[in-house]
Amino acid sequence: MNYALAVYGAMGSSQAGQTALSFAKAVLASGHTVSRIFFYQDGVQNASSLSNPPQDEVNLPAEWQELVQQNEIDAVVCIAAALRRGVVDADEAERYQLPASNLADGFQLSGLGQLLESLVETDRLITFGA
Amino acid sequence: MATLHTVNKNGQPLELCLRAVNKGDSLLLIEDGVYALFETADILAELIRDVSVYVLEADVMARGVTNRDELDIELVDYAGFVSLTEKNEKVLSWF
Repeated sequence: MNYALAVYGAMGSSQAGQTALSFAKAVLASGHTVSRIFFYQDGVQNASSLSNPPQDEVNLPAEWQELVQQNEIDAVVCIAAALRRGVVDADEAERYQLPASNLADGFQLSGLGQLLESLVETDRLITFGA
Repeated sequence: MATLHTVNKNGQPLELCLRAVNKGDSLLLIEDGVYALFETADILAELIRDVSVYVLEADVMARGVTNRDELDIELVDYAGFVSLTEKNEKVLSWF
């Protein structure tokens, strides 16, 4: 089956990202496909390349990056949620004349339409709330 | 058409879920939702007559909660979580 995941929580204040990551790995291990992961609300923090937790803790953005790149998963970050929380790619940084960009490679900024499309086109959409 | 409900905390998410759950549905307690084993065991005891209730093993272990009242509730790992999403056509997340 074809799965899509929606992640609503940031690491540090919610377990959503960790639960979703473990679930995504189990979905792939079960022989299913994960076609898209949508990061929404505080979940956009999962796509920050500047997150740098202590070495004995899980670096969730790095784990996501490895998973989406190895499995060619479409990792979509809600652009409106991301901009207000300071998660931007190079294009948006230039557009708004921001001093830096931090969207990790492997993620792309896009709109809520991508979440709706996942709901319609995949077999399962699993939401991981904050 | 059976639905899998996931609940990640007690309080309002669990209460709203209990209003929406139908006979034959499944309920999976995850994250802080596993505390329901302690805090609302009486409600779960009634619920399991009509609904299959599961708890996510990793979250149970992380919090040190136990099935104190020995309710008919199954411990599942992440593969079991995936399996539940296969069996139920709809998955509703309460959070």
